[in-house]
Amino acid sequence: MIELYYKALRKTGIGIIILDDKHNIVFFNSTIEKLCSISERNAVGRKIEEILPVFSSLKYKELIDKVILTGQSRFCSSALHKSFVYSKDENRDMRRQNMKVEFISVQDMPYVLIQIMDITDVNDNENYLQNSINQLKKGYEDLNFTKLATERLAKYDALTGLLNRYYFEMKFKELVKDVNYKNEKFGIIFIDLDGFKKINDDNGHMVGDALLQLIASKIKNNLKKSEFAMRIGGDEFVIATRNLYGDNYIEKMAIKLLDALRKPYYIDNKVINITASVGISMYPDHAKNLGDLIDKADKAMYFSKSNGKNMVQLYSDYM
Amino acid sequence: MLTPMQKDVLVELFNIHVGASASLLSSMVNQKIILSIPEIELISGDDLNLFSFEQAGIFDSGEAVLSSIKFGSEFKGTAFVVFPADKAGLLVNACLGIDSDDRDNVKGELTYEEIDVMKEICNVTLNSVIGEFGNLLDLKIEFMTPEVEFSRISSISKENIVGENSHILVLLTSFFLERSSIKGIILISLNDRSVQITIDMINGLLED
Repeated sequence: MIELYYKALRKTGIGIIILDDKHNIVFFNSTIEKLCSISERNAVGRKIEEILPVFSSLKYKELIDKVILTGQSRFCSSALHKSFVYSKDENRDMRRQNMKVEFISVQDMPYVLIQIMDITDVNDNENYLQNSINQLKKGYEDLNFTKLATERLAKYDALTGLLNRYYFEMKFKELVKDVNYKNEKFGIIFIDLDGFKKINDDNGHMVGDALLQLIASKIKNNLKKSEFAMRIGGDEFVIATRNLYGDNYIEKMAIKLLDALRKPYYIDNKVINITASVGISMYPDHAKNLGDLIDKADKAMYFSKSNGKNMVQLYSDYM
Repeated sequence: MLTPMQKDVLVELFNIHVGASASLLSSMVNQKIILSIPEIELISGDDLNLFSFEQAGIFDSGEAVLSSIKFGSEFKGTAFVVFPADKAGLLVNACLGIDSDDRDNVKGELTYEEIDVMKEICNVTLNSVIGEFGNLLDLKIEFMTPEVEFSRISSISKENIVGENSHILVLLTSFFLERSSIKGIILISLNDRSVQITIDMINGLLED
């Protein structure tokens, strides 16, 4: 039977080393032989520190001594210790091994049982899987981001963040339903920047784009929740605004907006001043569909531009 | 079941010994780790109520990492160390030298490698606690290496902890790391004889 146990221990896939209380190797199985490229015949009777250099460090000598002295078992994880048994031409850091060190006593003789579980392949696979999972996660985040960005582009102007034509029309339809139901009016404000082309030509497109963004930002900041705006052309904006506060509300709102737009802009160490010509049309007084409303607000804007610029004009049939 | 004096003696003795294991952990991971046992209580197995630890806020998430070892022969029992699962990740990070902010998930979903680190931490901790008994009782105590499992606090069976034993020594434990502290519980399940050995030992020290 003892021969059977010996042969079984020799062949088991876990590395087994048995020491006496003086750290001399008593037994060494084939798994350990393969890991360190040293045969059991050359190891038995010698100190473990001579055969396996890791065990010459004080930390592991004391660990083994403590096991002998107290009967405690110790578990050493590969994550903290890396490895314990490896061949001379191998880098210790390339292996991953867990180690169990336990006390055993046979006929009152103390021994130490060391079990080495080489998990290098498992660790590599786990790292590979973890990396794959991380890549999938990143890919999903990127996809999600792309999806959100695409959704955003479908509704908003990429440069200014205002609504694009498609989304403006959708919201216009909702607004029409609502005001009809409540028997209210609303206005379309058409804004055309005065002299934008010259500013763009004199200062470059980057400054021009930055100016458009700042203007769009001012427009947004001056809108109520129910109001919305789009950039209809290079330097042209259209706002839909509800007429909730009496007949002159929209004109007053447009004048206030114009005042805000006239304030200086500081871009790229430059001070840029700009004005705008503004035209207004009213639903349902002047038209009932978006195209006609914009057309009439545009005519009113053109009237402003022809009469000195930098002003607000309500549409009238004589324009 | 322990008088205040007896509790004080045990707390002082355990803190001396677990201090040594904290130093061992610190040297393993090149980071200062302080282990403290501020409170000890001896209760009967029937009075063990794990839910009360959840209520005390030690296990906010309800999930726990549980590690246990059996020890014997003359002084016999089973020792358990229980950590909140969401904090176990922080402890593992500290040992691996990883900034906790980098951790995607600190809710207790540990990798196999990280479970091994927890096993080692629990092993060192329980060794020092049970080892202290061995020192005080002047006995060589044999015990196995611990296993680690994850459970909801509510599903950890009292019977599994108490087993055939009659009493539980409850040690509230704190690991202090550089930027955080982690509370856990050590439960040592003891039979009547082991309890008597313990109380006799403490009384012997008090008489000295």
